[in-house]
Amino acid sequence: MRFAELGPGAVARVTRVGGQGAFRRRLMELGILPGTRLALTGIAPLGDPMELLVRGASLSIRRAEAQEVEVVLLDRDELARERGESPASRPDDAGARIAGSADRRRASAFSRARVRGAP
Amino acid sequence: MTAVAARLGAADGDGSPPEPRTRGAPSGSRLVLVVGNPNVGKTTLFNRLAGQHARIGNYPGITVERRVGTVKPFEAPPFELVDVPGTYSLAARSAEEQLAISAILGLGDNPRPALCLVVVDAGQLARNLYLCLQLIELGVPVVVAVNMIDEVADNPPNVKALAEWLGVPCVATNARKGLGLVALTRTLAEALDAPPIGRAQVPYPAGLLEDARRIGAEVPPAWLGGGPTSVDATGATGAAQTQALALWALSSVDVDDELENIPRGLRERCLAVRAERASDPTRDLDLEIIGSRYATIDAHLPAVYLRFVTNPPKPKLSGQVDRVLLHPVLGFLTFLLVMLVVFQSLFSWSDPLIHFIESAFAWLATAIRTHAPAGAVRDLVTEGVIGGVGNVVVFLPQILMLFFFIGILEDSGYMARVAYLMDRVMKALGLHGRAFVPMLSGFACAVPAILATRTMERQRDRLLTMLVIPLMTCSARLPVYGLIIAALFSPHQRVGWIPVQSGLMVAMYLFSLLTTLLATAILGRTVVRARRMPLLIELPPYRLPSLGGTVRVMLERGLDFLKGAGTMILGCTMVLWLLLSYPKVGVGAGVGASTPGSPPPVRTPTAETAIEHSFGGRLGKAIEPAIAPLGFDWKLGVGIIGAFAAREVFVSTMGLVYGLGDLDEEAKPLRQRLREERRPDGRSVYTPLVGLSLMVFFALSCQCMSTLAVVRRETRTLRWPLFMFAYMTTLAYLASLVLYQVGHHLGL
Repeated sequence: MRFAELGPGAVARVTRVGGQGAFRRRLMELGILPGTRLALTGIAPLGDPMELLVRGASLSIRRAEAQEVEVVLLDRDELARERGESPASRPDDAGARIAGSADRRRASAFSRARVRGAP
Repeated sequence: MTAVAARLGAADGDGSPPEPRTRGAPSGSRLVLVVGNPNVGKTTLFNRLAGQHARIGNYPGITVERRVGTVKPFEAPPFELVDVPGTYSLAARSAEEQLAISAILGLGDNPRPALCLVVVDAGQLARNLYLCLQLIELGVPVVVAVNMIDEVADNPPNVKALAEWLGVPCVATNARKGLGLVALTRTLAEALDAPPIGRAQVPYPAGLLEDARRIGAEVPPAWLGGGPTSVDATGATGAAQTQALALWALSSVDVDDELENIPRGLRERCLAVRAERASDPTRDLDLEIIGSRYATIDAHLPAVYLRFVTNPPKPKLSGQVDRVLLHPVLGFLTFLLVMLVVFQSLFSWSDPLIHFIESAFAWLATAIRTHAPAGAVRDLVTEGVIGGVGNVVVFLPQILMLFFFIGILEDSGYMARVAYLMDRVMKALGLHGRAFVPMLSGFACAVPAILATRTMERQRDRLLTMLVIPLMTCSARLPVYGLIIAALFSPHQRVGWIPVQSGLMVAMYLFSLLTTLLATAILGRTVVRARRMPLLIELPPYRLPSLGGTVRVMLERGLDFLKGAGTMILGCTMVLWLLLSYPKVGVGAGVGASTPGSPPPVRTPTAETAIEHSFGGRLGKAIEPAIAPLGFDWKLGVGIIGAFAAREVFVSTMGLVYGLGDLDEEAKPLRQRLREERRPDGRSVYTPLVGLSLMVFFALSCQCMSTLAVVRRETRTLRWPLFMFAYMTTLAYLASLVLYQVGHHLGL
């Protein structure tokens, strides 16, 4: 799954950073590496760029760049474990986050088409 | 090269003891580079340390600002601080990004530093230490300032543990409040005497080290001189430094890079290694280099904190504020409000100050005129010099106001949000979201707007923005449009339900917006092309802006404008004044005498005005054949020449052409004259079509020497202002030509 396909509030782990040359290097130098946890904090009102939280820093990158970052969505158990809680204790907001991303799936198909058309 | 190879051989352990090598700065260098990521409070810290002594210069060969300041510690000799532009990494693809490594190693015309002060954000240690590790790998003496320590008061990093790991002194600071600065200054002074070389090491995979060794043989010896101090007896630091430089070259050199002064051998070796590894699916050079560094950081950071959090959440307050300021509706409303304030301040609130400056200079000129004996010298002083200085100073209110607001917006963190909100729009133009505020300012005045492009990081974006800003309808065009519209169009005329007069004004704004967008798109794809680089906007936590720092930057900018662009504006004003005042009537052969080769006047003047007799008047007549196809006569030609001083001067120049003396804002007698002006056959000279053609000419042409002077100042070359003048004048000429000729043939 691509980072650009996530919905606001989603939390994911990077599996691969794609793209080429300076482009890819810069993303990695900012700490976006395989294994890094990314949270999609929000999307700009005009649909681009996206705001993400990486290692405690708020960065924003364009959809075209986010398209190059492959991620796996963190499920609620993993998120709870991250908080140091037992998996079943706090189902509330983690569940909401994942639901939020599902809602956005159609929108992301549209944005994918747009990204491909962009130079 | 052989020396390096020998040293490498020694490090590999061929038995012979390597000679101790003294690296670095010529003895006595007390230059400290301030290095760090963007948004870590580097400039604030610099200002705190260097006090009031900062001087602005330029990095050699590149239009990046270089600030130098002097620090005077209590019980040690003073030393110099130099600000290096904020960067996330030393790896580079462009000459601009290469600046950091050149400054650190003292390559090219850069003086060799004695020490690097790395400023890191206490709240973003992992990413900030990435840059710090690169410096330590290079074997450069480093002191670390862990800044903004107040923002992590609930879980502060242990500075001692950090220093223990890195092997260099680390000092906690809060530059905003001025805390920790005494300790930092003392540490820097001590480090200058005994340069601290870091011991933190990154365990790279063996395959990568083998590649680095191959490239290391091609690293030029001059690069190794970087950083001062002597090497330990084993020479290990020299080998480590060669390895670090090889890794730098490996991450930087690529087929499409724009780096300068990379030796051919090194470049070829890097490309060869890259090509080999690209075909190997088990290898990923960039990931190996960057991943190893981050792995080291991730392994050591937990020891630096009492309670380590890998992925801290966004600061609570910033998150809440962003929920409003980045909201699709509320966010845009706030944004519009903030931009309205910025724009209004430039467009109208600066007006009283501008008027005050203008009347002060007018008063001064009058005072001298009444008290000094008449003559050429008096005229030169009152009209040339005082007028010229006035022309420079008159920009100050807008420049100061704009930089005041920019300072507040930058400091608070809102500027990054502006870029974030507007990026989608600016991206369509091939620009960065940060271009928005300079572009908006262009609607008030191009001069402060061009200065405001300094907030943009990339030189290419900055240049493109500068080149198109003068196309926007600045406030100096309004009196010109006002005169033409009022003189040549009736207030009662309507097209449909739209009154022609106000409709035309709106149309001119839309026209300039359209041409700006088109020019940006075209120039961005031709003259100033960009490689595709990922956009990156860091959204720093909201912080309270510091008034002192803002005022300081504002004054610095104002002063820089006076010094940098002032002389050129003054000189141009004087040349223009001479052109339009000399030779005086009665000095030459008399009325009606025109320069040889000038065309016969359209209608025989009954009484020649002083301006007609001047060089400027003759020039106007000389260019008449060229501008006649646009519908302009020589009088408009003189007006256009005069408008080069500033567009609104067109109105007063036309007043002089018609012998109407000084005109007020309304210029009523001039409007009357323009309406009544007839050709010999009785037709009107200034038809509405001529008016339209003239307005289009003013919309597109670069009739503003101050703009050109500022572009020269900001780009440090004559090439760009000349290009700007050429492309805008050509555009204006062609557009007016087409408009007038088409209109003429349609019988308008």
